[in-house]
Amino acid sequence: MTSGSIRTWYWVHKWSGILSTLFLLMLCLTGLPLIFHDEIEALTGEDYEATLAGTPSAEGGQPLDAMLNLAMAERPGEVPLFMAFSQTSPLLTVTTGPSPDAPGDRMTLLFFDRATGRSLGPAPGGGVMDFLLQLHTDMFLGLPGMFLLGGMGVVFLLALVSGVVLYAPFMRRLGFGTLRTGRSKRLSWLDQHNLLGIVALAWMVVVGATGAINAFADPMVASWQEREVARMTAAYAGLDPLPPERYGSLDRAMASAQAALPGRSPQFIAFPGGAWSSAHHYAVFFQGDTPLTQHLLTPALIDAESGGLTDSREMPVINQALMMSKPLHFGDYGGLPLKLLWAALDVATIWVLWTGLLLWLRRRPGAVDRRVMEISQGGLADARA
Amino acid sequence: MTLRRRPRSPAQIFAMPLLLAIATIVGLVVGLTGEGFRDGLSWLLLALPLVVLAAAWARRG
Repeated sequence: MTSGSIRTWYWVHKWSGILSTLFLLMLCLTGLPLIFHDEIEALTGEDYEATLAGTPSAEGGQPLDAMLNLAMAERPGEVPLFMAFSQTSPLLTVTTGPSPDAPGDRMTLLFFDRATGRSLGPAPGGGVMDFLLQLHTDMFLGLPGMFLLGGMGVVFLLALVSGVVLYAPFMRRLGFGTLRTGRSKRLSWLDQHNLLGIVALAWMVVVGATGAINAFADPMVASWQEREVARMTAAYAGLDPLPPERYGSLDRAMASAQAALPGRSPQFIAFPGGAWSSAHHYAVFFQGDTPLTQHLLTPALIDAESGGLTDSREMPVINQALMMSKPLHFGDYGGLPLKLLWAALDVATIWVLWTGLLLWLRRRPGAVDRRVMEISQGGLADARA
Repeated sequence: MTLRRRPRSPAQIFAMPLLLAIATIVGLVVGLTGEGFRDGLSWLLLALPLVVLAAAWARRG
């Protein structure tokens, strides 16, 4: 590699790093407790999934209409927005809001036990974990915040690529795993930065890329609604939105949906007028029936008044990619050991960011040539210069 | 650790990193495709980078 191309890649690595490091440090630090949110919620007694016994709410229990009536009695004057099911416990949730198109911050999430038909009250929330999640998702800035963090994810990927390119000249005369901690601090940081970076590389690429994809989730759902849902419900185009008092039976709608997609387990129902359905339909979202496809959702659109099936189609590839990217970002699909590995790799990433920051902040004065020399000589700029 | 006199080829430099990247990706995907044995295999593969780190730390100069 010529020193000219090292210089170019060094420039890319430096600036992509400077731009994204503080955001990435925030994401890694807030992400660390979020990996264990189930366990933390269980400790604080908020984990109904673990404490409720009985048939999973996705499979059976009290009638859905009865559960919905219970929810609406708790929120008079509001309309239902979502009903979601658990695959492992009788926990059933209903989201309500002042209007069918209510924004997220006006929604209320209510918990129920579908086995007994008992209300468990509003979802616990507003705690530290919610704060961390919000910071991690959009920094309390809404959609622009999500886009900003998604953009930072892309810049982070650029830093990873340029880092790999610079790894080659740096390691030309060094064995894999070299850690020279006994000489200068700077040399120790350089070796740690290089080793941790290359060892955790694939994990950082996957979690970075899936995080960036997730940041653009809202526009992807909006695009699905604008194109696919509009096409599937073309017969309803031009009709006035269905008013909530004319919503028909949920149990009948669920029966029609399950007849259309037999053998699959429902994950949630989106009510008419929201971002996940049309103005006239219950959209019943089903999981796939194999472990790999259980993260992929397929909707059945049910006429909310009559309870009959209108259409059911697979989500577009881009939305499927989004759904598959979620578990790969959260690391929540392989039990506690996977979460611990996720945490360890997250800490490794924090250390890569931190040593990278130190290397830049504590750079000795001198032209960029010194750093280029440092890279091409495996860290020993002074010995050779 | 002393500097090698003869520079290593890119293939030599990237052999271990490539191996670790493949182990990581396979580990991530295998865990997604099922429970039980597949989860166990995924843990082993994802632990590999951490084992390599521990080994390098033990041999630090």
